[in-house]
Order: sequence, then C-alpha cells, then structure tokens
Amino acid sequence: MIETDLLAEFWRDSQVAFPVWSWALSAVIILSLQIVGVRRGVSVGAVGLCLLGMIVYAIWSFDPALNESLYFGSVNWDPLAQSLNGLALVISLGVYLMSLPGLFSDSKLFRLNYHQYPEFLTCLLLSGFGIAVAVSAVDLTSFFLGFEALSIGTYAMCGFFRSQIRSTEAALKYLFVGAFATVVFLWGIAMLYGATGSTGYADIAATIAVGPEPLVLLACIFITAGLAFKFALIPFHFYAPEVYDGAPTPVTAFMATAMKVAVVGAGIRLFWGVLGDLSHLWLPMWLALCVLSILVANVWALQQRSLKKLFAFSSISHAGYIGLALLVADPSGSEWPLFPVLSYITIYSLMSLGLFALVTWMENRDEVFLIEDLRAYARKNLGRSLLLAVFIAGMAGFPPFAGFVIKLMVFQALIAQGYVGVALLAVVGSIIGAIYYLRLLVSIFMSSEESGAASGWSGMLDRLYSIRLVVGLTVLVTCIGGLFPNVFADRIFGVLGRSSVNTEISRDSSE
Amino acid sequence: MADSIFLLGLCLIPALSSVITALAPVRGIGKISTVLSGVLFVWALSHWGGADRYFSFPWFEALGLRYSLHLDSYSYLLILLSSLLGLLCSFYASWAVKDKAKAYHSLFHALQASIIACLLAEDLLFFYVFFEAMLIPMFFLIGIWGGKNRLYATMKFFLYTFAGSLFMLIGLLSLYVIYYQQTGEWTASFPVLRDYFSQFPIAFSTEKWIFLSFVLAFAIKVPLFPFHTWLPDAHTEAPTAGSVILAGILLKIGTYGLMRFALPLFPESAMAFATPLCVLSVLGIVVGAIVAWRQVDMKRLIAYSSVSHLGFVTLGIFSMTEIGWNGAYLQMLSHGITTGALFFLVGFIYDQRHSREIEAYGGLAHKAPIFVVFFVVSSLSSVGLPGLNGFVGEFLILLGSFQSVLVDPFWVVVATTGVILSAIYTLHLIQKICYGEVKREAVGVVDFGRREWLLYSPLVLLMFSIGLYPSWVMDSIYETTSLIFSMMPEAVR
Repeated sequence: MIETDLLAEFWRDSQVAFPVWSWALSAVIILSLQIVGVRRGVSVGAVGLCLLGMIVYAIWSFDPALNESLYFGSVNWDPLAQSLNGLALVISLGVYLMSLPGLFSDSKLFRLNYHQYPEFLTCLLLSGFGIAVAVSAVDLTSFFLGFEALSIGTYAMCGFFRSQIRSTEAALKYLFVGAFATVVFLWGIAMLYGATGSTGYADIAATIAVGPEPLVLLACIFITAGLAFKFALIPFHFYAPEVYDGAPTPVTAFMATAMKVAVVGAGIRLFWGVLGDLSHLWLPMWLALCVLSILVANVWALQQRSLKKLFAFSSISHAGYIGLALLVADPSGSEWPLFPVLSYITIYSLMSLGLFALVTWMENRDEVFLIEDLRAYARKNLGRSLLLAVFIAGMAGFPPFAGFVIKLMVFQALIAQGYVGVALLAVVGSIIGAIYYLRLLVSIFMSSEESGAASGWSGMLDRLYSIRLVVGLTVLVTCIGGLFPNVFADRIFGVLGRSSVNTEISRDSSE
Repeated sequence: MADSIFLLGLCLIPALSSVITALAPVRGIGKISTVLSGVLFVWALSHWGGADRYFSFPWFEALGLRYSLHLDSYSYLLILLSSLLGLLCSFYASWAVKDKAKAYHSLFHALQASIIACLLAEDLLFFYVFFEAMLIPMFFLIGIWGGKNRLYATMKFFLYTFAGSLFMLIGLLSLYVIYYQQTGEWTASFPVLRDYFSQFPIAFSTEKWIFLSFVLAFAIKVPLFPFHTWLPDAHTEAPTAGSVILAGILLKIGTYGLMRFALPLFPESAMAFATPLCVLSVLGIVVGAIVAWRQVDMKRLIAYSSVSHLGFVTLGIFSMTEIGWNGAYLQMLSHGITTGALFFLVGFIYDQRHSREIEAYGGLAHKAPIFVVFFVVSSLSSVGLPGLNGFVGEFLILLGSFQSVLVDPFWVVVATTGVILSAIYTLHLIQKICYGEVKREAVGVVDFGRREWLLYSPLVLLMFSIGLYPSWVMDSIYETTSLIFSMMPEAVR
C-alpha cells in the first residue's frame, strides 16, 4: 500500500511541477518528431509552440501563495522558482527566435549544420530543464543535476557550428573547464554532506551550525568557487571571453543570461537559505569576487579587439553587480531582499538578449567581429546603429535607460546594508566601464576614418522577422524600463509581494 | 490641473520636438526646428510673473521615487533663458548646420528636454537622472559636429561629468537611506528631506562626505577650479550652438544644483567648507583670467573667461549671504546671455573663415562694422561695465562676499583683481581682432545680414535691459533667495 501512496504523491507533485518537466517533455516531443521524420520546419515550429505554451501555462498557473516541497523534498515550487523559471522561458524563447534563421541553408548561422537545427533546439530545451531544476532545487543532488543538465546542453550548443574551428574550440574549452568546475562543485557538496550528514537543504540548515567549522568553511569555498565558475566571476572567468567569442551568437546570449539565472536561483537558496547563519564564512569571499569582477573585467574590456569578447567582459562585470545584489538579498536585512537581484537579472537578461540578437543580425559569421569593423557604421546603417546605441547605453547604465535603474537599485541596497565602500568601488567600475562603451559609440557614430568592414556585411537573413522581433521588444524594455520603472517593478512586486519574499526562502520554511 | 499641463508641456514640448525633427523631411528641417523651439519659448514665456507651480507623478513607487516638478523663479528664469538660447540656436543652426541636420536638431531638442526636466526636478533622484541624461545628447553634439579634436574633447567631457555625478549618486543614496532608516519611509523628495534634516541633522562626520560628494559633482559641472580642465576642450571643439548651450545653460546646472540642493540640504557642512571653497573660487577667477589672456584661440579664450566668471558665481554662493546669492544668480543669467552672444559672434566669423586664431584677424572694424559693435558690447558686458548686465551680478557678489564672515576680505580683494584682469584680456581680444590693420582672414568677412540682426539683437537688448534696470528680473530672484534662506538654520542667516 505504501507504494501506491508514493505513486499518488508522485503524481500529485508532478501536476504542481508541470512547468519543470514540461521542458523535458517538449524536448522528447521534438526528438520523437525527428525520429518520425517530419520536415525540419515542422519540428522547429513545434519548439516555438511548446515554448509559447509553457509561457502561457507559467503565467496562468502562477500563484504567489504557492510554496510546496515536491518530490520528497528535492525541489521547492515557490514564487522564486516560478518567476525564475518564467524568466528562463522568456530567455529561451528569445534565443529560439534569434536562432530561427538557422533553419535556412543560406542564412550562415550554422552553415552546414542547418539540417540539425532541431537538435540544437532540443539542447536548448534540455538546458532550460536544467535551469528549472536548478532554481527550484532544495536538495544538493537535484541542485547538482540541474546544473549538469544545463551545462551539458550548453556545451553541445557552443560547438554547434561544427565547420568552424572557433566554435569547436569554444565547445571543447567550455567542456573541459566546465568539467573541472563540476568536480570542484561536487567536492563542496560532498563536504557539506560530510559535515551535516544530509543533502536536503532543510536538514542541512538545521544541523549546520553545530557541524565542524573547518569542513563547512571548505565546503563554502568549493561551492562558492563552483558557482563563481558558472557565473563567470573573476578569477573563474577565464574561459568566458573565448567561449563567448567562439560560440554561435544566440548561444552566447543564452550563456550570458540563462546561466546567470540558474546561479541566481540556486545561489539565493543555498547562500541565504542554507548557509544564511554562516554568512561570515562565505560573504567576504563572494564580496571579493564580485568587486574584483566589476573592477578587473572593466579594465580588461578596455583592451579587447573582438566585439563579442568585449561584451563577454561586460557581462562578467554585470555578473559582479548581480552578485552584489545577491549578496544584499539578506532576508533579515531589508523589507524586500530579492527585489534588486530579481530586477537586475531580469532587465540585464533582456538587454543582453537584445544586444546579442542585434549582433547576430549584423555579424558575418565567417570572421571574428572586431570592434574596428564598426567604424563609421552609422553612415551606412543608421537604424541598427541607433539600436546598438540604446543597448550600449543601457548596458553602461546611463540614464534614462533601464540599465541605470537596476544599477541604482543595487547601489541603494548596498548602501542600505552599510556597504558604502563597496558601492564606491562599484561606481569606480562603472566609470571605467563607461570608457569602453563610449569608445564604441565614438567609433560607430563619430569616426571620420573610412568605414569598417561591418558596413559592407549584408548581415543575417532575417526572413521570419524573428531577430527584429527580439530586438524591437528588448529595445522597448530598455527604454520603458528606464523612463517608467514602475511598469516592471510592479510586475516583480506582483510576483513576489513584499511580504511573501521572506517566506519563500527555505530557511524559513524549515523553521 | 493648469499647473500640471504647463509643467508637462515644458518637458514634453522639447521631447516631442526631438521626435518630430527626427521624423520630419530633411528639407526645411531648420525652419521646423526653429518653430518648435519658438513654441517652447512662448510656452515658457506665458508663465512670466506667475506663482510657483507643482506637479507630481509616480516614477518608481517601489523606491518611493516620483516625477516631482516644482517651478519657482530660480528654475523658471533658467528655463526661460534656456528656451530663448534654444530658439536662437535652432535659428542659427538652420543655416549653419548642413551635415546630418535632422540628427542635429533632434539631439538638440533632446538636450533641451533633459535640461528643462533637470531644472524642474524636485525629487533628488529624478534630478540626478536628467543631470546625467543630458550628457548623452551633448556627447553626440560635440562628437559628431565638433572640430578637429572633437573625439578627445567629448570623451573627456562625458567621463569627467559622469564620474563626478556617480559619486554624487552614492552621496544621494546615502541620504535617502539615512532618511529611511530614521523614519521608515522611502523618499528622495527634496523638501521632505530638507525639512527633516534641518530638524534632525545627520552627524557631521557623515554629512560632510555626502555634502562633498554633491559638491564634487557640481564643481565639475560648473566648473570650479581645479576641476575645469574639461571645459576649454569641450568649448573649443563643440559646434557653435553646442558651445552656446554648454556655456549658457549646462554650466549653470552645476551652480543651480549647489543653490537648490547642496547648500540648503547641508547648511552646516556648507558653512564648514565655505572658506576653502571660496578660496578655490577666487583662484578660479584669477587663474582663469590669466590663462585666458594667453590664449591664441578665440573660443578657448572665452572658455577660460567662463571659468573666471563662474568663479564669481561660486564665490557669491559660498559667501552664504543673501546678497551674494542674488548676485550669483543674476551673474548666472548674465553669463548665459553674454557668453552665449560671444560664442555666437565667434561662430559668425568662424563659419566664414574657418579660423578662430586671434592673430589671423585684425581690422574687422573696417570690414564688418556692425559685427564689431555687437562684439564690443558683448565683450564689455563680459568685463562688467556698468550699464551692462555683467556689472550688476559681479557687484552684488563682491558686496556679499565682503559682508560674509566666512571669507577673508583679502580673498575678496584678490577676486576684484579678476575684474581688472578680465578687462585686460577682453580689451586685448577686441584690439587684436577688431582694430589695426586688416589681416588675411579678415579680408573676406562679410558683415551682418538680416538674419544676424534677428539673431543677435535680442541678446544685446537683454544685456542693456538687465544692466540699466535690473529690478525686472531681480525682484523675483530676491523673493526666492530669501525664501531659501528663511529655511536655513539661524547660524547661516
């Protein structure tokens, strides 16, 4: 009889957790369609339908009061998981749309690999599944599995442009470095298990304070390092510029955004949920990594020649800001701790998506996109230059664009928690960052030299208008988010509610 | 209701103009743009003599931030000047700017919109947003339509100001957080914060840092010596209309910020730091004047003279006396009119001869007598000749500084030498370019046509009217100044 109980519980949980496994279900559907042998276009269309359906379901089923521990305490389906899963869905839809030209043989997005495009999308869906698990995991095992599912799918996508050596190199580099990071991660998990004798967050949180301190400290170090790897914080960032540069640009967009979403979700639960009482152990480390990322990445970005590497460094510095926002997500410290970090990750992800979609649209896949290629680009193509300028201003955090508002929130949260010095260092980073963003604008709009190579590129064939759709929507977000931040702030508040934020952290649910 | 329509109109007319000029056909864009600027000017003028106006609209409820607008005479007179200079700039640009004219006019109106929003802002963060936002159109205006060395100049301009203002952001957020920690409410509304902190002052050890972060941002913008090095580059490289609006309005946002926000919020720190800041102002007056004397480029000379004249403004402000403030405010307006006119006049001959070298000109009095009349009047107003606008402000500032307990009379005497120095470099300039032999560049200069008369006469009329009968602007300035001072603690009054 026990077994039927288990089955019944499993069935009930599965209904609640449908948004999680619907990712995997979609992937299976697409693979089956491929096996049956339908036309490529049909399976690609099916992916779009699946993603849309999942988004609609996520919105429809959203319940801010829902906070359920599922699958025998391995995942927790709460507003945090729901909202980050929703964000992952939006990102995946964006990546899907900007990779749609890959459907056609003449689009140059994947060159010879265009006929495997549905497989690419399967990887995308499976990575998304990884995110959904990672952001809802409240058990070290499911946490680890989520990250692995996410990473493996991403490795495959990085090397998808097989005929190009840069893409293959990126995939291999990412795979090796990622495997190493996984080991470090696993090591930390093992130590945490050793210190507490449990993998469930609730149990760990209950026993960790009495566990042997050195072991817990080591566990903190390894887990922080593992997360910092995925997050690409300095000094664990060194794979990022090369991989971002080599991977097909839609994949770069996915890595720059979705990976960070997963880390944010998992990090909030792990740091504040489980290790919240031990913040003196991991907080200084994490703080140092974030500040280092903001300062050093911006300096390195100054010396880049490749556009995508420049944006890689820019995304590393943004990871630093997100990390700081996560750091001040102390549930005991403020009224709505998760607000800065969730706003930052949302707005940053949408801006990055737009930026990389634009790069996909402009670039010539056969060559590295150098910054000097953009010289006097405005003379040839004013529209794209203006769009690029909006994204650059947004990324740099110049008001009145959305990038400013999210930085403002991080500074505000930092100061409210007493980290004025850190806020000042972050400001210095922003000033250094402004230099290279401005240089880009100078070269696009003001260069009097002869035009760079990009002016001559025809760019991606966007037959389905899908890239333009992504760019258009994200430009709107970048502008409206800055002028009327209430629009998105209300959404995020609506999602989390000022009071419900605290309860969703598993530390509180364990009490 | 009428208030909100009027204030929104002030912000939205230039914003819409920016969109309209971006979409309008290239032919006749100058006329369209001039008409739009004219609409704004008339709209602004219609308020003349009216009472204060308020408007508030939620911007970012989560953080307690609002689009709060407040129009009093401090903001109004600068807005009026800004829209007048904007009108003249659009008119001037309608024939002077031929390359990418649509983008030029569109950016110019965007700049105008952010300036006006900044001047109207009553919420500190809202002010900050537009304080920084105005850098973006100016960055493009200098960088695209500027002179040879424009890229260097525009980067320097942007980064200097951006860096300063980010530190102010930290100070501002600290203030905002302190208010929250003490009251449990989030707001960045200036009157609320001022009233609260005048009752419950922040500990001086904290307050001084916040005050200094504000002063840093505004000092760079003004620019106060020794933060002035971006200004000569930006002025020299900017296109004529850019220089006019930069000198006429943008610099004043710095002094406006000091008078509107920094000093009323932190009177205690202001008293503590007033003496060194006054000394810096005096140094700015003297150094700016001496350096201006040695310039070979006309625009650079005027730029350094701006450093010198704005030194007077900050001296008046940091003297912390009502008379000093009245003088400082009037000097802000005068400097906007005078320097605006001078940049226009230099632009007039530069457009014809493409040289700004002082040595290359001479004997313009023979070639362009009407130009010379206008040039001499504007220059003399810059010197501070009684009867012209420059005199009134400087006189009041010196009067205020002599009265002030915070400034040693020695420094005021030193500042007075700035007036003499300014006479030296200005007369030197007039003598070199207007009189003497007709030199090579001067040969081909054509004198004023009808449009130039139209362009320059309003400014010269203003110079005389303020110089001869200052009360027509001074009365409203007096009122606002005494209102601001009445809210400061006893020690200041």
